[in-house]
Amino acid sequence: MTATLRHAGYVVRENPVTAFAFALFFLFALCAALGPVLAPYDPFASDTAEALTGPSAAHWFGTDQLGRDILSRIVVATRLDLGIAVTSVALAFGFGTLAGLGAGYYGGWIDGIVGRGVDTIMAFPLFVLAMGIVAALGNNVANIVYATAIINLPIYARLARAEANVRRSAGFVEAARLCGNSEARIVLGQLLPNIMPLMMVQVSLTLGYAILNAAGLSFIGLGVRPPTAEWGIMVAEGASFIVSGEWWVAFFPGIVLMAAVFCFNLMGDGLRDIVDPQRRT
Amino acid sequence: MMDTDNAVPLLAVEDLGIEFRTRSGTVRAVDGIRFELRRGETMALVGESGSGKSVTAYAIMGILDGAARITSGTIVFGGLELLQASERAIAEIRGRELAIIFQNPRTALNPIRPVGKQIADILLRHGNVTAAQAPSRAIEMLAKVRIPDPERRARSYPFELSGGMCQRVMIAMALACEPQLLIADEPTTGLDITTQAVIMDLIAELAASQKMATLLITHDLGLASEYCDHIAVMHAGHIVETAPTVALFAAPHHPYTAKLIAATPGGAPNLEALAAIPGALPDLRRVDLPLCRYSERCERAAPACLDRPLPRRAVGEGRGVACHFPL
Amino acid sequence: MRSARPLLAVEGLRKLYPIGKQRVWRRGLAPSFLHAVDDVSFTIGPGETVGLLGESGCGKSTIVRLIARLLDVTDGSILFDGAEIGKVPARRFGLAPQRVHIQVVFQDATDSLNPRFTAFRAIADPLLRLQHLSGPALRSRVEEVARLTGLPQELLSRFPHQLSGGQKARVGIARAIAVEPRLLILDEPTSALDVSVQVLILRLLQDLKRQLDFSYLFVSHDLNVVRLLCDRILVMYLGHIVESGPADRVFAEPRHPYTQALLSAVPKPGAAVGRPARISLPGEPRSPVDPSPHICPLYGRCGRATEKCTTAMPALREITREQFAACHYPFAEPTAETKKLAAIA
Repeated sequence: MTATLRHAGYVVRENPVTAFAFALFFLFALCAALGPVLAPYDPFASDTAEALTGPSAAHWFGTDQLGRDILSRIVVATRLDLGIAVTSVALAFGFGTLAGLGAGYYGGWIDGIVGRGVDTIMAFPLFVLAMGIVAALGNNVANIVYATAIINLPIYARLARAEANVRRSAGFVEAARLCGNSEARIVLGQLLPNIMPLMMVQVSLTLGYAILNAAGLSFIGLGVRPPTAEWGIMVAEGASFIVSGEWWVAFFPGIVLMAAVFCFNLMGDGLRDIVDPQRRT
Repeated sequence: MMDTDNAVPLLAVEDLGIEFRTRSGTVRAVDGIRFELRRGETMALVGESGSGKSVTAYAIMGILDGAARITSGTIVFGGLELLQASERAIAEIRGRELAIIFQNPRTALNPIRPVGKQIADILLRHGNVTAAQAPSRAIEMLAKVRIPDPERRARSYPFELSGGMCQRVMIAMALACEPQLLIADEPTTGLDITTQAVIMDLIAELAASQKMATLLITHDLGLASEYCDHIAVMHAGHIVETAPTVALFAAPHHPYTAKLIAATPGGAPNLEALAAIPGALPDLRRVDLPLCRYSERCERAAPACLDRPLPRRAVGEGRGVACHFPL
Repeated sequence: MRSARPLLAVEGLRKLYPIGKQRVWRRGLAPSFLHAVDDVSFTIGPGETVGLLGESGCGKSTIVRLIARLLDVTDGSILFDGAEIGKVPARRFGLAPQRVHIQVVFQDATDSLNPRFTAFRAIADPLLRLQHLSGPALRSRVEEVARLTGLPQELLSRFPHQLSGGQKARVGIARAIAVEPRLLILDEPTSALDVSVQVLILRLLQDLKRQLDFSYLFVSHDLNVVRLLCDRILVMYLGHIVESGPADRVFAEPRHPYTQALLSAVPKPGAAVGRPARISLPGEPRSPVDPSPHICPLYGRCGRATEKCTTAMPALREITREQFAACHYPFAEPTAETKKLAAIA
């Protein structure tokens, strides 16, 4: 374990881009954990006298149409957005990888079922499918999570299946059988660690996509509802004000959204370098 | 067997140095090697992995990796200085006068193109054939390398052919334009013993009939001894000894050569007689490499071996040894 | 006094692979089979080293996997110390008591080591699963085995990509011997190694055999290596055993035409002068798909063939004392060619 931490330190030091991405992620995590404490104002407190004032010393990101401080709302929204993203990716990763590993390693009917399932999901335009699931199951945060998880599951299943397929005839799998490992133990204990580096990169990409997905759903009115603070809803609410010149209402939540996706994508390489022992010299 | 037009060697490599830039340092893969090859001669570059033999072959063909840099030396082929020549000039002779066949023939062939077409491609590029003549000439080449049923096989893809047949196709491609020099880079590694024998016999026969010089790159001393007149033994980027084959085995002059011969299973009567070569290849990234790169493994090493420049000592007819204290 | 019962007795072993899709509407037609291993019988005694020689496609890799119970048997029996293990399905063999006693060292050490496991973890795997060792007992056993195979202790924490070819080979051997198997199958363990490393590994295998009294099944296409290590040799061709006998006898006086051709194809260093003529096998091997049970597998490439070779499959029979060959016209007396071969062997 200490070897891994030491190696993680080395990776972060070696690559400034990775260091930057991890620092940014740490900032986001901090906001998510301590949101209400860090926010300078109460995110729900409206003050119509202060409505739609631009960025100033008092309100760094300005205020929205109800006089609420935008910076505070952004900070507090981090918990929700990150929470949705992480939970849905965890679900997609967990179920997708298991299904893919089983399909790739065992083949046969397992491959058939997983394959058809994945094909079904991918037959739809994924965002439309997410919309449909949320609309059908009910307009709440939990369903956003499930919908996002479902539409991201095929990527993991396909990736895990391809990797398992390639490796199942590798020499070390045969050697593992000679050592008395059961098939399940081989899949989980020997194959899974080998595909983790690739999955790590995919996780980071999916995190970015999941945030965009959740924000997109909120943008069109599904899922999160006002007055909840969430980046997507904030962009949606601020969109109508751009024309009239109050650009900051949509701009700042949009920028933060972009920064989060950017950060996750950059982290992907760093995560893979930490997890993959072949990167160690 | 002195031929008057053999006075000038076909291939002369002089003081060749090649290094590779890698993330962990600069690898001095080849350092100051020299050898000559005359028309119609067969020579083997023998060495273990990491000795620099394949790198040398690639340098001659001009197909070195992007990370490689030639730091010194000249390679003169048929009067042309290859390292100074223009890319166009090299492209003209590569494939026509100078040909190479690789290890692992199936991966060296284009997997999505029938083999007949691949041979025809070379003929069109370098030989003086028209597009109409090329297919039948390709079939002729296949017959020359003794592939049965050549008309049908010309339409086959590499994956439909066995390893031995793929290697024959490669030989056909290499020999299509009757080159003066054939470089064979471990051509039989991965092939069965009987196939290996047949392929090497084929190469030897075609080389003799076309008076083609052959440079065989191999780690197998036995193979080298059976098919080559001269052997150059390489170790860690140096040529440590060159000699005619019979003389090399009768009386090796370099300690490494002797150890290599003693470590080859083919020659030993029992396991106890096999000698291990102590130590390991030195790390070629080191800046403090001793001038004789074998000295750290050598039982006869003396302080002089570390800092006196290696002699390229000639010790008799066509022999050379790079050692201060030869056997 | 050694027990007379052989450690391993293989009888009539066959492995057939169905090929081509079994179409529903073709159910009337018989499917085609690839005969990877066809009616193979042999024994290995306790403490014996038996060499299995053959080229690609002869079935030796299949035999390795059948005996190691990684593959299911189509027909025939495998008796290990009297117990019939051929009937145990491959996927259940991990739980059988004999699993510990049959281990394999693979050809490509790099491929046979999990890239995510350290050397320690790789060697510990069989000890964990088959002997349920843990903690200090596990650690001391792994270190002991590493010492036995000449692997320096500090390399145990390294990953395969940080090890050299020879070191990886030692890890593979250490893993295989950790549970003290009685039969060690070595599938071309040195073919991927340099000559200098090969010597060390071969010496190691020899020493281990003396110290720990294994039986070895040494599979290789490299005749020179087999000759140095093995007591008895089996020569395989197209799924059949075509010759068997004591190693020095088979090399000095091969009885089967294929063995002769094989021996004559081996390059001998320093023997360029006075070599016997190459005995070559023209053409390609016969198809292993649905081979006729009456035609000798070497027919069509063999210079000694007659019509008898197409009407009756030659059985493995004793030609001279302890030497067996499956041929209607074996070399009963040494020929001039084989004498020359023997002189340089």
